[in-house]
Amino acid sequence: MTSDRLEEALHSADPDVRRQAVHRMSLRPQGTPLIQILNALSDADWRVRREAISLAAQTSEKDELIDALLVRVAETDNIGLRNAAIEVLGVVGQGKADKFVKACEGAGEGVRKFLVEAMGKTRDPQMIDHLELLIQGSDANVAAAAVEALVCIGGARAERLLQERLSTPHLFLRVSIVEGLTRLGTRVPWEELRPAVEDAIVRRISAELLGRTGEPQALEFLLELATDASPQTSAAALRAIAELAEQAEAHRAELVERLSVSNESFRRAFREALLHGDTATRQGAAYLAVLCRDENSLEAVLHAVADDVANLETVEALRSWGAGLIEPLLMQRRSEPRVWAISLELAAELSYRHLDEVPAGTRDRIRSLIERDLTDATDDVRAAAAESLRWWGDPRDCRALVECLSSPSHQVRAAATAALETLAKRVPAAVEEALERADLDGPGGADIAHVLSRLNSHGAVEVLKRGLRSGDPRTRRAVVQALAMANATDVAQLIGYAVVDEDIDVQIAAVRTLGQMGTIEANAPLSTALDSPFPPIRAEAALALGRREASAAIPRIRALLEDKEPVVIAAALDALAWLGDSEVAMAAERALSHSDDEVFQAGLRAAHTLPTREAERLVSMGLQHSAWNVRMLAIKLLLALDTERTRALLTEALADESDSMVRHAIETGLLGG
Amino acid sequence: MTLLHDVGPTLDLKEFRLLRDFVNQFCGIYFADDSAYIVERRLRERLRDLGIDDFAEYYRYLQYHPRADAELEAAAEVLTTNETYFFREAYQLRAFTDEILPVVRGRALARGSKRIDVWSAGCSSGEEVYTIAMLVDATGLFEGWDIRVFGNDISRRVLRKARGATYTSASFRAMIPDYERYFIDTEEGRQVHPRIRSMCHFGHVNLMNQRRAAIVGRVDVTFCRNVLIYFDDASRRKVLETIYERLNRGGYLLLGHSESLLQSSTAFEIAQLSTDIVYRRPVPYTELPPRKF
Repeated sequence: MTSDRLEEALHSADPDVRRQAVHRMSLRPQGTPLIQILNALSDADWRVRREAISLAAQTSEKDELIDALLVRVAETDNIGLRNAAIEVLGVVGQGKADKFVKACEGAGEGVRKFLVEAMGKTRDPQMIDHLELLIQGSDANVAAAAVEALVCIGGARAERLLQERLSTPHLFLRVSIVEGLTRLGTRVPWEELRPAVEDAIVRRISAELLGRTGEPQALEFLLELATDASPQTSAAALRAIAELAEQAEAHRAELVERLSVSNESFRRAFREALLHGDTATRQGAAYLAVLCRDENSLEAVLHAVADDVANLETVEALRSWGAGLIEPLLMQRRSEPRVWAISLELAAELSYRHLDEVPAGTRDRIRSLIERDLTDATDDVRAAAAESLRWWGDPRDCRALVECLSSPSHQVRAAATAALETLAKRVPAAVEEALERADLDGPGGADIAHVLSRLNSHGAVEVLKRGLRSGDPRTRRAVVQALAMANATDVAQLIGYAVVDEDIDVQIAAVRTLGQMGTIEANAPLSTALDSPFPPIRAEAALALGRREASAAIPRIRALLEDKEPVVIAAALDALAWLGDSEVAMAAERALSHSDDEVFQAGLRAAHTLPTREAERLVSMGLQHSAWNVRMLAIKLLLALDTERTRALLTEALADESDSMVRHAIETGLLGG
Repeated sequence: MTLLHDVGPTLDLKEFRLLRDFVNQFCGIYFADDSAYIVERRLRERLRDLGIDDFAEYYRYLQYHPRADAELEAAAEVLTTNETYFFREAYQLRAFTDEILPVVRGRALARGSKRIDVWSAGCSSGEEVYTIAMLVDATGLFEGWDIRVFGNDISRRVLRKARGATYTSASFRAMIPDYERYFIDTEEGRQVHPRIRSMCHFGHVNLMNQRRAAIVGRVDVTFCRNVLIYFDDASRRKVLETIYERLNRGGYLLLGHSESLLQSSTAFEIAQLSTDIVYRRPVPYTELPPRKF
């Protein structure tokens, strides 16, 4: 588009034409005159202004733009322009605190708050000094804006400043601070929070902060808030009570006792939240219901577990309830299948864990329910019944569980497999006998192989060998994996055939299994696999030979360094490093100039095996890599080297690192020495 | 693996981020770090199915395995399934029937057509698609018209359910009694009436795949409710571009009640209706009626 046509488009009566013109300018922002940016920012249509914000953020004339926008924020009555200007200042204003301070000093009272808002949007910690003065000023609007700005910037210093002003006599400001600290996730100590929440208005918005104190005295305030007419306040209070109970482990019994004698309106709010609250509220309410051992809420709690809403603490609290929970659980028999499935399984577990407290009649009842439910119509219930059998350890159950392995339901087979695995530890002979004639060609062939692998017996190996002829590649793969336990020559040969199976997953499993076997016969099929047309097979074969210290394979593995597939090059380099190949240094250096992340990482791992000085030099190259996971690996390897030089390199890297996880890895690594 | 005992490989933060980014590139869905446990739970099923022992190996599978593309779809499937129900966000549906449909009808008639196309982008198990068809039918404005409601999802599992059109109680939590007549009781649940089903079509489309989304054709209204909230900014922009491309000029986009386009796209204009704010693909200025003073 020529500049004349662009100019024409910018002045079009059609806002969409103007929007598109500004959008085009933002694709090539350099050289856009400042006046055009400012005009676009003051356009009457929000869509044009939004495009202008993207354009302005890319300008090279940042200082001029900031000066112009600060003036406009202070002088304009055009709300659209002002908001757009504030947003742009937030993007371009970092490191320019002086300009903002000067603009604030010269601005009238009514507009200073807008400049303060822009300061916050820069997220620049340098602004904090000035905001500290403003928060103490006499203008409540500016002080509240300064609070909001500090929240935007965040960090320990901003939090401390806000906490210091928490007891301000100005209600409006106190409300802003409480909201800000809540959003920042700050844990305000009870002694500091208490004076602030004496006021009923402040208290209504303080639920989260109260919950975070971990202080039992906060409970009384929260119980009051839980019965508030506003569902939001009530839900926030219930979530906070749950957090309080989780935090205050030492006082948990005291809290539970208090909750147990709470009034009916609290219980009503609590049940309402459990049934109809949002996910976080249901989660909190479910936890509280279990802590308080509220049998009336049990079904709703189990629903929350079934819906994947209840957290792990709730499930653990259910287990801690003990034998007293068994009867209420058994009363859920007519509930929804998912609820009953959880009830049955938990009842079976509790009856095993509290054997001495559970009457024989109750155990017999659970047992007969399990037997009945093994043929239930729903997968959830059948799976729960199968899983529950593991608590009995009865050899007679093996046959029923093996039958479950023929189920078309993945879930039922998985539960039966888990139960049989447990039984394989307690009654291996019974499991082996039950599996002797198992149908490895059925849908549960892979699961049967999995159980057989736990038996580690001659009989199991013989059954598994049969499975190598299965028509289902999933079964053949599982059988090959399971046969890793049989470290015998003839088995290695059989698995060797699987290296040329028609299914690639069977081939991969075969190569891996051979890699784990001690017999020399494994080397020949692995060498064959180095020529596979499939890159993952070539890679796995190289790794397997490397792990087996098959140094005779070095020349062929070296050849894979020229492979066109990065996964193969990376594996070859790893294998050569394990084999201590003399050419690893050169290969590592080459890998560190490769564009693929996996090859680069293999280069780092290989470099790590070199003499210290060389390792330091090469591994540190990973600290500059653009991918965070590559930098993480470099950090791990440098920390493992742990020399003065590597520590200095890591300290240096910390200054430039922007990824929080990577920073954390460096900080904790350096601290750990 | 049962509802109570969910054990299996654990996903550390590094593996989580690698897998998260991989899935994000494929289908746009984004999981924050605090959702790692959800990803761990849902993907365990895939690891078990593939006979894979840990998540690092699964990541390699997704990168290098010849069947990686199919597996990525399967991973997206288990990670993206979200529940929905009939007549969700009723106030917005009222705006659709009372204000949008009459405009859409007028526009269609003006171009000499008796056909309307509605797209439910990310339709999950189909409740929204059938809700839309029932609403259109119930207005009585479209007797003898060709009504097409197209729903897409990335999950084949939910599409199977959508095509089956049979639902249990959870799907009826916001049911409007007047519409009961559109359902037939069956042993498996309540099934949508064949007349409504005949208006509805489904397809397996990844919203991030602009070329494949072209199958939708040009539509008058797009519902994309509570879908974009699961996407990151870049993916959201890309999907909005696709939706924009698929809408007729003047066509409407309806988002979920907590969603806004303000940070994601300037291509749509805001249409203020009496009970809701929706978005619209702008009509060229020259085609707008003259302003009345």
